[in-house]
Amino acid sequence: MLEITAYLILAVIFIVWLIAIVVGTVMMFPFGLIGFFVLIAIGLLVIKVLRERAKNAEDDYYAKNIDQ
Amino acid sequence: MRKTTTMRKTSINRRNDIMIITQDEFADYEITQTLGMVCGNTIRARHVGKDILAGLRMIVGGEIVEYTKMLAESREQAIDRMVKNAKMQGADAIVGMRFVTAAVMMGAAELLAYGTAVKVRPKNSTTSSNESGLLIDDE
Repeated sequence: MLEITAYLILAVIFIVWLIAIVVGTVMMFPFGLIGFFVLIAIGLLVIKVLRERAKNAEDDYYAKNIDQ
Repeated sequence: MRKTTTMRKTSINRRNDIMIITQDEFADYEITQTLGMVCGNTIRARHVGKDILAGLRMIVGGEIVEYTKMLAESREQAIDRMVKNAKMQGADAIVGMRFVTAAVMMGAAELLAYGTAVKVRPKNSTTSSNESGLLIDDE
């Protein structure tokens, strides 16, 4: 419970931080566009990784069934 | 409920009908054919939240259960891949099995399981055993 609460708080702070970064890159137009596109590219890679992990039944099997 | 891998009562592990031992020879079987080296590996990592937890555990000391579980998962997956490799070659058993591990990046380790795939048959033995001469106990 403590762990999940901590993860949720960290996730919210991360999203706020990300929004601040995006706003910063937009405000620094035109040079901020470089950072903005870097963020977009990294975001696409994160989405790819998340989708692959969500579909990976093999990883789910080992994560759920093996303890130590 | 805590999940654990069960401790087997006998000295021979069996997975998917493939016997796995760390010795070079069986006490109860004789090797009839050597098929060659088989291996299985994996590189696993825990998610960033568990990495943070693991880092915090270093403040208080003790077992870092996040990485214990990660290595246990790696071990099982590496063995499963090695066994799959052995089955493809038509093996009955794997002898001389060893593990090798290497750190790849922070929080991620490679675990390689390797051994020699062989075909075996029960020895004609005078020791007490069941009809087929098997002393192993399946899970």
